[in-house]
Amino acid sequence: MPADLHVATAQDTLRSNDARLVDVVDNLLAHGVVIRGEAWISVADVDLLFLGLDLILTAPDKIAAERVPQ
Amino acid sequence: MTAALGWCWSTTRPPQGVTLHPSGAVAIASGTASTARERMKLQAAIVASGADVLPLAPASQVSLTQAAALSLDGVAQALRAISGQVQMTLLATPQDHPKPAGIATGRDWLRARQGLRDDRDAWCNRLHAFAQNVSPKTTQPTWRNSRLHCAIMIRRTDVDALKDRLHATSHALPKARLVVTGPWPPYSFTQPLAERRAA
Repeated sequence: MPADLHVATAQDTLRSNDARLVDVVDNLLAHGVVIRGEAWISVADVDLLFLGLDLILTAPDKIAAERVPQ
Repeated sequence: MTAALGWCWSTTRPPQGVTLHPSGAVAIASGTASTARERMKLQAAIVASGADVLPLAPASQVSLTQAAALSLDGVAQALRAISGQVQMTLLATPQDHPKPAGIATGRDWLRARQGLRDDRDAWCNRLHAFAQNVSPKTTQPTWRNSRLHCAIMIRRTDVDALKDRLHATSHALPKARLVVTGPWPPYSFTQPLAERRAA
């Protein structure tokens, strides 16, 4: 028995109330570009120290879900 | 409010509701959107217009001022990497998920849990193989709400052919409901961008 296949455009998916399509949209919301901050402390054009800071622009529930319990 | 949506080429002709703010070869795309879904609609409209967009995560609310203040490395390179490509998502709902039955002891329960895990892993592998047969650029399938999510990246020009191909090969994924959506901006295929600051 082949898979029961349905195809929807992005616009149809965003308009739909179908639970599966809502789930697709919810799953995509937290994906995309995140910005990583980098600070370089330099003296006389010589890089002495690097500070890295991940500024994750994402949904709080996504972060909470992926946080490892201590 | 005006929100940053991501980055496009400066030569892009924006769709209605999207404004470009060029800075060299690359432009910040913005639009009036206060919710994640509104930002997503505008990003999808850019893709539907035939343009490339490097999307900010729709869940993040970045103002145009904040985006313009970022001194980002690699935007043009990241845009080139996704040029002419779009994301399609595959959502599979297995129809024959086993339901644990006859659990009398702790050992039975553990065995049932193991069986469920094995079944989920098998479905992950099946969907991954199915997706890779369609495109080599594929994310690892993940479970969410008893459904399997997977994304693939294909050339924009292959979208129509993809639908035909999926219809033709759907027998390779039996006993599943498969929902294919897109084209989307390449949400699942972006890399973090670095903001470099001298101190």
